[in-house]
Amino acid sequence: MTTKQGFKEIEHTADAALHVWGTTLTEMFQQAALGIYAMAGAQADDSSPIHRSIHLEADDLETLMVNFLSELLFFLDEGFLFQVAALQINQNKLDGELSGSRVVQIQKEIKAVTFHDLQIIRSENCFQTSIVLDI
Amino acid sequence: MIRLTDIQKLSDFEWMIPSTFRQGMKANVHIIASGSILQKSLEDQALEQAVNAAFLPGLVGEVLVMPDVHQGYGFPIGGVAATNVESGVISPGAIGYDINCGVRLLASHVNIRDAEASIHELLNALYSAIPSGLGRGGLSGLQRKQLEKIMQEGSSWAKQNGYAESSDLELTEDLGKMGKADPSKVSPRAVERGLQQVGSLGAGNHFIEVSKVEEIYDQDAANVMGLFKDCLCIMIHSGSRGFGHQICTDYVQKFQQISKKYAFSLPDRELACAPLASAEGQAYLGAMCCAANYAFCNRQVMAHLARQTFERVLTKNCKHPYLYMVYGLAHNIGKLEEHRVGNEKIKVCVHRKGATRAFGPGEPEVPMKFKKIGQPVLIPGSMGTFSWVLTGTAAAMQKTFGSSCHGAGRVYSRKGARKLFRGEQLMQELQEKGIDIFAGSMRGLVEEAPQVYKDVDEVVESVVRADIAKKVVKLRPIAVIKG
Repeated sequence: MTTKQGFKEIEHTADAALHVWGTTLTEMFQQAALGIYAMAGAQADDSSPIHRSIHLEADDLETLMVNFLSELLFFLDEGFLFQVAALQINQNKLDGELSGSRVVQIQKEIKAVTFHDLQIIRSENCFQTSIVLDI
Repeated sequence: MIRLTDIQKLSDFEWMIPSTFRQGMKANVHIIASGSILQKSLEDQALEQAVNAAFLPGLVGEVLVMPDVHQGYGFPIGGVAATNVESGVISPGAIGYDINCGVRLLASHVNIRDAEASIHELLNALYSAIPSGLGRGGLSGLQRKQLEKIMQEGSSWAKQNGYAESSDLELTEDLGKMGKADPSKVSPRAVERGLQQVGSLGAGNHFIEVSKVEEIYDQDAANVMGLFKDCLCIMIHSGSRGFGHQICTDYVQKFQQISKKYAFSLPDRELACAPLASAEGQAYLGAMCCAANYAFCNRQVMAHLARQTFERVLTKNCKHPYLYMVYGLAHNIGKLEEHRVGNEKIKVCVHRKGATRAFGPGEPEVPMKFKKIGQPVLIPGSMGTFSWVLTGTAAAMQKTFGSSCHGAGRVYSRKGARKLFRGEQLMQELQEKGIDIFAGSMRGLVEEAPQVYKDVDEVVESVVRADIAKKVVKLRPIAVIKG
């Protein structure tokens, strides 16, 4: 982790996995979103953006992460790439404002976000986790 | 971490991790593999995940590991686990996100000699006729009521709507229709995704392969299946698309809480499960059967399109270019079956994730045509390698809940594959081997390079030597569409 926030693809035999990190929980969630778009090789057109709000609540942060990324994958399947314009995470609740455009290209289909080995680790000034995706 | 010394040798092709290996395991892990495949399996988390699967409540018999095993998420790919229908659980993660991902094989009387000049045109026409790659495609304008019928009827819907012949259904596992489907247990989001994708291949490791019968090992069985030396075949590998992915996503999330409610002690959250007999377990079963039926219908519609295309393109040079059904099966599924364990017959839910049903001769579920030879087992290779047709055996009924392997099984990660291979070079290598390729994406093609998979011949040899399947024919790929 040479930067304060980021994502990196890590080795997984059959599927795909991402390591994501940030100085805050919000940053880490945003990096996870960027990570799955990069992994999918998703590109959007420059049509005027559409906006969508999301509100999620879960029993724990790991479930919140799976729910959040599953939302983005669903939108991708609908043909929209939504960037995170604003995000707030508080007490296992997530409120986000998304800004999206039409997908023009995807290189890889991500079937799902899994709970396998998913554990959000908090250390001083850093949140990080690994996320295994079903390809 | 599991070491070779933790594993007991039962024979040259069977191994066991006893239930005493780790506290909390409820069953032995029984591995079908050659010594070298076993050794390779220790390099990733595959066997660790098989041990984790042995924690599922209500297991019956042993957790089985097939020689194509590799690391998945929660439950290994190439794994089989049977749970008691009364006292056991059902686990969506032990079936997989691509519910009823599976394969079907169609064959013809067309000899490759007569069709050689038309293969590229055939590939081109198949690519145009069958939507592949990401996102939408397939039957357009499908209404919700029609989708509901597909969820309930599977391949029967395809037949009623002109996309199937009677023999297609008779030669599909479960006649292409699982009876417990309950559309009320499917989320609106899954429905939305499902409306767009019936009759489409998808991406990733999904493919359509044109091949020829290279070698026959069991002439009688090959005759029964209608497979002749050098005859052209088409294999279709696909699943339930976004519809199935969404259903599994929905229930893995729901079952996080259910596992807590029942105080299940599971080593991996992706194994989240519910008692099969509970309302939650029945809800997932109902939704899973809807996805299974969707996938049966999906492959049937694609088979119909392939059949039309094959006839249209080859009619110029070949006599009777008709594609008939050999067999169609599922390899990511949960099935309610009755098996003999010890002296008892027990009703179980067999979770097969990256594993194929391989019922032996005489079993009531095997189509009449195959009663004497056993159920056909289809083992796709990996673009540049052979695919295989096997049959199930009586020994498989005793040892593996009537199950066998489903493919070659990966050994290299996708990331590793991208470092090792280049798309253009790979395409050229395959073309030099006489394999024509159409790929939705170069990145996808590289990630599915033949070299990232185990040697499918060694995988097949392992199941044959362990007596859970018999060789019938080997197929050589000629042309491949990668989704």
